[in-house]
Amino acid sequence: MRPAWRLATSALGGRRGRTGLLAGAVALAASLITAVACGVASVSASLEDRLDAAVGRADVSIAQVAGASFDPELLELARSWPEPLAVAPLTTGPLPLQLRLQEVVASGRGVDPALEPLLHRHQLAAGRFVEREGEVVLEYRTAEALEASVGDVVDVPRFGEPIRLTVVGILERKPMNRLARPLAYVAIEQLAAHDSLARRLLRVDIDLPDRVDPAAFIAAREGELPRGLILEPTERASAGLNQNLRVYQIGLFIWTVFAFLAASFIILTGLTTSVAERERELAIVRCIGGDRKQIAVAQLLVGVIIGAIGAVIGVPLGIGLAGAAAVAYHEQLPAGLMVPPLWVAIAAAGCVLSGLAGAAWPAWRASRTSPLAALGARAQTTSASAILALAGVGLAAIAVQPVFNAVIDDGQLVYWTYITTGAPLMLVGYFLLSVPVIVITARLLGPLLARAFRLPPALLTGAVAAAPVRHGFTAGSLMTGLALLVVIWTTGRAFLGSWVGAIAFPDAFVHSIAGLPEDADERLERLDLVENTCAISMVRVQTDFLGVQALRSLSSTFIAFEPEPFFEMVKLEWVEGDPETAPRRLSEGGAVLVAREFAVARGLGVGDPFPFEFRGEPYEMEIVGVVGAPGLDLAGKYFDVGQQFKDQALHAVFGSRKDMVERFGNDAIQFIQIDLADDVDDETALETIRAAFGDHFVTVGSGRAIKAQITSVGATSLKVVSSVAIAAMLLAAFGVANVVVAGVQARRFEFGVLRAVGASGPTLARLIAAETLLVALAAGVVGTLMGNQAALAERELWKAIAGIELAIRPQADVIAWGWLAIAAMALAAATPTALALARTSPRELLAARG
Amino acid sequence: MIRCLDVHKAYRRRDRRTPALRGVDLEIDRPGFVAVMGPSGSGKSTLLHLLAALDRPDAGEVWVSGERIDQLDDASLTRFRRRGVGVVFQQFNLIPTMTARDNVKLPGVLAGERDRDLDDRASELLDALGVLPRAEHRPDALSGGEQQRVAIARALLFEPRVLLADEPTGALDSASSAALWTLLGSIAEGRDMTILMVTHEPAAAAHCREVFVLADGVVADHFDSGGLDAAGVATRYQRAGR
Repeated sequence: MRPAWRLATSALGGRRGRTGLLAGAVALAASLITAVACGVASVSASLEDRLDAAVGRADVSIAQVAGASFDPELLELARSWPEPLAVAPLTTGPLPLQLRLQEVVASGRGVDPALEPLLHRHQLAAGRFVEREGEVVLEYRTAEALEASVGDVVDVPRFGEPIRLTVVGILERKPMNRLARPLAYVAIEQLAAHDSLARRLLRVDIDLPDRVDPAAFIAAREGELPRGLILEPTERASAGLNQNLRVYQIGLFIWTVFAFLAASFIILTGLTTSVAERERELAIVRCIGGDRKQIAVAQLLVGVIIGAIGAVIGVPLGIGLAGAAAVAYHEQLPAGLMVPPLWVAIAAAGCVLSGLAGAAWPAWRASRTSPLAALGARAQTTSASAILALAGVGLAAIAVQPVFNAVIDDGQLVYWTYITTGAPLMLVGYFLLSVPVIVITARLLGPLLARAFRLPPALLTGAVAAAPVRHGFTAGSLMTGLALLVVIWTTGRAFLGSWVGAIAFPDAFVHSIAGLPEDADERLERLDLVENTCAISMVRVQTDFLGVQALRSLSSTFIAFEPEPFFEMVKLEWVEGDPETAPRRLSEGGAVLVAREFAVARGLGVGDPFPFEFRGEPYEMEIVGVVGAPGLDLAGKYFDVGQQFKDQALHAVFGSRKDMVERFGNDAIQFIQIDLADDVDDETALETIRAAFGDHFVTVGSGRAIKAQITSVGATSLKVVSSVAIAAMLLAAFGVANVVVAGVQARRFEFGVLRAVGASGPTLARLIAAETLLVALAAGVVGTLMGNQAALAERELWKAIAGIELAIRPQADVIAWGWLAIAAMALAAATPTALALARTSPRELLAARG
Repeated sequence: MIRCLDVHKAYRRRDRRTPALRGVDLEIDRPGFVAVMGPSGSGKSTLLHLLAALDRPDAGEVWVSGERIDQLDDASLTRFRRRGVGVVFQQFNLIPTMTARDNVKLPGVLAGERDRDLDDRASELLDALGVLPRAEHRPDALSGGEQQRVAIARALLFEPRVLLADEPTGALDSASSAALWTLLGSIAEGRDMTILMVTHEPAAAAHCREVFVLADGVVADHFDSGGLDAAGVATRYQRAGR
């Protein structure tokens, strides 16, 4: 080992500049991987943060089917289950509050102060959340009505001495208007002290670990609940948000693997060029008794040392880069910088491994050096058959992933084959393909570039043709950053479109429990900014919900709409039935859709009759679909309209307004969904709509703002992750600089001859620049092809494992910017060497021989 | 010390076969300074490559320092090159990133020898060759003559019985060349070793004890050059060429 160590350190120490460049490339790779890992963790944490704020962390809830309160002993049952991470109760009851001369009857929410923060993130404008009895947190409208601020003591009047509660926090104003139902949060015992009925539970929220599927948990546990109680997925689970988040994380992990492989290739190119340059030196060592193993091990040690240096510099640099991004995007990344220790360790180890992997081929090649190579300078050209062989192997490697996609159905298998085989082979394949591509690029564009750079065409094309492997591998290193950029933006834009589209719901809502005016539709349709409306009516019907054993019939809500505009505006999730036949049947009349919760509670499905009574008269309709509406769930959480809707949804059926009018003689409208024109802003729209109903008490809400918040996080994530691709290009530029320096070094005598026969210094500089540009162009071709193939592969991946269909389209703007970026970076990397070459005297260049 | 029996060697390039040695018979049975001369293409460099275990003959036997080397495997040839023979090249072939001292020590490092022992030995050799003051300089800071002396020091590290020199003064001026020939002669005599020098210069051969003349891949002549000057060697050489 000692001889190999001495050879390795001598090689590194003797060329400090080149060693620095290569170590710099590895450091950048380490920083890239670390920054990606920290970026993924930070974005994930922020997304979780946003979701927590929006919908809470609970995955499932226990509730009474009719929305009534239930026995507090059920809390103990839920807590006895081993799966949940947290089980939090919620009680409710009226809570009159007095402060000075103001009085408000708030809707009290009784919570467990220790558990509530674990499951719900209440965004506070001031103060803190309730921690003990004697404290109250006011919703902003309650605080406004009472003119209360943090620190004030409010009274809860009762028979005898009032209960005194200190205001410890005020919740943030929600971004949209909502029902004027002032809320106040207190400890459960506090609410019960005022109203003994408030001991009964309204809901029990349950947080499950990621490994537990909510649907499987519900199936396993719902049988343990007494009749009348259901275990249902929350809006978070039903919207598939956890799933989408997981898929997003998978995507970023894949990109990290790409970055790691890119680093290996850059090291491989740099060290291979170094071996070629040092062939004479290696041959001398063979002449004086160095054996193949010593030379090979020395090369491997060079790789390991370079990797280690890169890790030491690059990992802290990566954390710093991620930290800077977290500061720059602090509004969109509220969770701040997250540093996952495991990934940091992987990045460091990965650097050393990539150094080792990158040195493997050069080590083998160095060990094959013949001693006689020291004694003669024979130019060895790469044969056409070798280039064809590289093309063949490259194409075969690239074809592996499409073959996998064609024959494998299982989602898990698709994922693991992609990560372990398909993606790495794709990268290897395009890397090898870079060699024939540079040859073709030189043939096609070489004469053009030569003219542009005022060079003899044969000089430029000859330089590339003389060393196609070195130039091709350099292009291969450069293309990775562009491929990363293309795949990030292609899938990212498709993901955002699919994800947001998947939870589409109308732009705005108008609601009035007492009923909207008869001309509500016309008032809205008169507004230029309204493109489409869908009126919804609701009536209470009686249904023998719990069957013959029921003590009494329960009310259900019949929710009626015009099928055509409704289905245009709302995407429903079809649990049973299909969106083709159900709307037609609804329009014909005598048909209903039921909410998923209803079907679960009653065990009914498509084709079953739904009997009910309205004003004492019996009716029966056919169930033509069982649906969920994830978007409406989210809308409900934002401005409570949905809360009421959801409360209804537990026992709601959906039918047509035709039936409502013809069978029930009721044409009152309580709710109108609105699609707005694209070019009108929310505030103007809401004000205009409210003004249209000026003489009526209505609530107007915006659905766009919800979408905008979710999209904003996604778009920011895209920008943050793109910086990873830019870093990959910079990394490759380091590699290019190293290879250009090595190439110039290896050809010093040749350049000396050129100078001796009349070429000027600037001519040599232009030659280097033109060669570099040819490499960048080849990298552009290969990187674009690989980026788009990777995007197509990820489309199949997400379809297989997440059921998400992404609409993949080439992103011309991203590709154009990417080409410009790699050309600029490559030229910038080569410029110092080109200028130094131009300034070197012919005598110095010629002295390089021997 | 050195013996070649009917040695043949040809080079193949694409479908062309170029014979370099066509049956060389040569024997050097005692220490001394010996020259191999011949015109360009005569096979002298090829002969030196075979003797230095850098290549294998197509046929025949090659013996160096009592060891038959034409049938050794790659690992054995490597070991032989490390300790069994020293080689000095026309282009010096020093490692450019190592100092003169480290270049001299390199064969010992490759053999796994202790650094302290190697340091002492390297200093001794560099001093004997008159370049100890330049020990910590890299090759690009040394003159041609100094570099060649460092190369000779490296070749002598393991005190081989045979030292092979391939046109060692090809890159030097005449004064340096003369000094080097004298030096090689004194090394051969003082250390009781055989130094075989490939050269095309009669002035170099004049410093040698005997001369082998190669022509068209065979030994065309062999004469005693002791007492001959450069002109005398040249005359005898030209006669062999006819």
